[in-house]
Amino acid sequence: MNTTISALHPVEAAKPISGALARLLEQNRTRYNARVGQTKKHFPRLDDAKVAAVLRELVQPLVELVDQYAADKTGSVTDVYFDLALELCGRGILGDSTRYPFIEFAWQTLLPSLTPLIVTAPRTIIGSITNAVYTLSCEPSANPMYWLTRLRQAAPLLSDVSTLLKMGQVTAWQTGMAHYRQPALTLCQSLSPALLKIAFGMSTQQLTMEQIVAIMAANPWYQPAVPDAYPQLRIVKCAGAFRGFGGVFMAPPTVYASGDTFVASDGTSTWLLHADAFGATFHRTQGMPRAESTASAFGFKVITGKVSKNQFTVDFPELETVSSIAANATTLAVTTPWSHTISLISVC
Amino acid sequence: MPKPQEYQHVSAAPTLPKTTPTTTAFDVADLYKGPVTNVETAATIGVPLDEKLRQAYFWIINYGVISPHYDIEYNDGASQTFTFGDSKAQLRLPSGQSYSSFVLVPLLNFAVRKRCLLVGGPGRGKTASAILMGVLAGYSVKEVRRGMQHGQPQMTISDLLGNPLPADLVNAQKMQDIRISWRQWLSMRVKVIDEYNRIPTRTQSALLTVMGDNYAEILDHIYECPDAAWYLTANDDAGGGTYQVIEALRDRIDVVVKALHFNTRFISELLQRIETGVDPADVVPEQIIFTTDEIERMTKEVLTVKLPNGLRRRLEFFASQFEFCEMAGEQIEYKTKDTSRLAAVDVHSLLAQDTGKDKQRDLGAQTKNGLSVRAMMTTMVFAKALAYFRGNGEVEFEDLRQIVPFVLHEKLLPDLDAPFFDAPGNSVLRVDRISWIRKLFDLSCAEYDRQNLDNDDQVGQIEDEFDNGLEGVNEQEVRQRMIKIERLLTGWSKDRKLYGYMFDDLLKLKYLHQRYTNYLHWLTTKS
Repeated sequence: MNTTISALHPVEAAKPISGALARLLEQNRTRYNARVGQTKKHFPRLDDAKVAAVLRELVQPLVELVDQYAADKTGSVTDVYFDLALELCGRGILGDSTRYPFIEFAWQTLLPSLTPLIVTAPRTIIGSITNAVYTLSCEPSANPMYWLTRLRQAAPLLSDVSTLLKMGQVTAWQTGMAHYRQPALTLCQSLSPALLKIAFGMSTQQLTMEQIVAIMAANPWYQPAVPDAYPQLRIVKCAGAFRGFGGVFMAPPTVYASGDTFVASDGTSTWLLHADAFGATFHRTQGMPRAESTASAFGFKVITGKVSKNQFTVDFPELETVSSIAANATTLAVTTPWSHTISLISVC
Repeated sequence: MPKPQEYQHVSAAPTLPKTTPTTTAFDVADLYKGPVTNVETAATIGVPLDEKLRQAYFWIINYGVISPHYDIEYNDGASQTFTFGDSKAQLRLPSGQSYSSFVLVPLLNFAVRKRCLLVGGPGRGKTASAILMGVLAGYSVKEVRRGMQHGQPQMTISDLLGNPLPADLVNAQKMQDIRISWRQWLSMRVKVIDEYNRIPTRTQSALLTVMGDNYAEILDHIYECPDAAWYLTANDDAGGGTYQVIEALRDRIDVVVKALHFNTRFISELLQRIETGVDPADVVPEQIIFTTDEIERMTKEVLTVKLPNGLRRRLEFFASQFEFCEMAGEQIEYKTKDTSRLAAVDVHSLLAQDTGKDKQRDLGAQTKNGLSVRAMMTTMVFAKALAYFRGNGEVEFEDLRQIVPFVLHEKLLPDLDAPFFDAPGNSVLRVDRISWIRKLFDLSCAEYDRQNLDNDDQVGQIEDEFDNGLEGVNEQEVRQRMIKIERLLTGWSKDRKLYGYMFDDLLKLKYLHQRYTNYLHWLTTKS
């Protein structure tokens, strides 16, 4: 992630820390200094200026909000913010030159809207949000910005910590974490329609939420935000890329079916491919599946670039020469000797 | 010892990874795993208590108590051993996850809520360790310190238990009218008695009632205490306290652990503590603090750990070695060390009269006493606790072997004049009681294996036969079984010397024979 979102400028002439945070730092000077000392033992390169900037730019406004909302909780929440700020600065996750700018963005934009929940379980919420954005930042298929936007939108509707965490999980699936699909579908049952609507990125809604979830469970390529009135056999996703371009494959892969998922191999490594309308993720695995059923078993036919299923037939010139074909009930996966991507074809 | 880290860091689970089959299922809870550790989400709220116990252990080891020792050794495959010096001192490099007894044993005691004695010189971390146990139970450091009873020569029963209210003493017409102001520590789930061997004898008796029977009594008023984990400390448990500890109180102590010396290679950590001014007990992470319900649940879970029959049989064989004293009585039931103790006759002199047996092989010749029922029960509970701590549902041989010395430390008294200790290489065992008891256990297991008792346990077979019940067993069958017992006894009486492990077998055979005799009598009367 090269995007620079951070507004931190640690070395410029900085305003002193003020308000509730300044008061607490003053009151607990010895304790906080001890924590800085401890953290420095573990992270010798921890930069005081960077910590000061993070406290001033990120933590101070958050502590101020907590102080306004529940003054009696300011101390305990500040402890958590302080500890996490130190730890994350030590790991190079917060502060300038971070490789995870969305984490700072989450602290700046999402955490303020979660203040009423943060005072009830500070470490759980701040830590979970931070970890979630980190996880999303590490997954090329995911979009942390969408995740943050949707969660911020949902914040007024989040009544408790558990709901927030479930909402985060469902939204993570919707913003690219395809391997969370099955458990996230289960979690959908415990979220309100209003929250699901936000998680699915829907502006309008014609079906009930139960119906939408049922369709999504049956068809991984269904997008509730973009309901397609005209079903067609099409390439729904191109998954994977050459390792030199940020992908996982050293050589053009071959693909195999493994239940509802696919297994892809470049001859050196093997990967599990989870794909649906919202993303495609690869996870390293070991061994190869047994050759189970052929594509034709699921009604797919591929003849020199011409793909057909049921009443649909479409010509895909780029798939004229195939190196491997695999299918499950909804999706056909095709590879060619000339490409590092896996073409996923479905009717939607 | 790991490098110093933040005090709030708790070791990530699993702390004792086990090999599990690869799975392709993904957990959506993984979303919340990342650089911030100790985040309690729905996925981590239900963290198993054994895992939490291990996390507590590793936190204490890393930050709480500087005890960089691994004297409870586990091996996972081959391990290396190095020998040093004229005494052939051995250093083993365990190939499995091993533990420091000084931290682990008190933690196991916390899990099963028994009574642990921490012994060792001043400044070795005994009290600090006990305070940490209180903090793990959810008390603040202040509460634990205030609840700690400091043994001192002037300590009265009132100091220990509480006082009658002065106004009531004047106005009360009967005892029931006198209200008692009970001391707060009696209600705590972790009780700490510092330097218990400095408590006067009379007050020790009051302490014995609380420790043994879990209640306190003043002026006919009773205070029922909750189940608690006890920690007692003593600088010197060999009579170096101000007062002699009464035997009954000593017997109530379930497990003993010795504070090991401070390794000077870790002075840098002391320096760090001085510089940061942080007392580890003040910063125990919430993630490793146990609620009352969790402690109770953990105790129950420990007790569900299985002790396999084969291992139980080894324990029986080991425990049977010590009580027998051939010269202590005429009738076989009275040939015990307890008989000589009650008669105030020195056991050593009786054992010395016992000629003809191999004194090296006779493990009973090394001790002045046998094992009490309480000692055997405690051994099994702590073996289960150790297995539970290691995430197992069944006690393994090594669990039993490792825990036995700490449980029997105060229970099994060595006869230091026994010939065994004069043998080459054994004199050091007069001093190192942990190693001596472990050696006893190893020797017992070697004898058990030599006799092939896992596969050929004749008494066990007769016992199993009896345990199937007498319902429907006819007269002929009973007579055959009795003859079997008699033949076995005949064989033993011809071939063998009488060793401790045979003593209990003989009495068991007598018991079975008597049960069959009674049954036979009932059968013949009935017909």
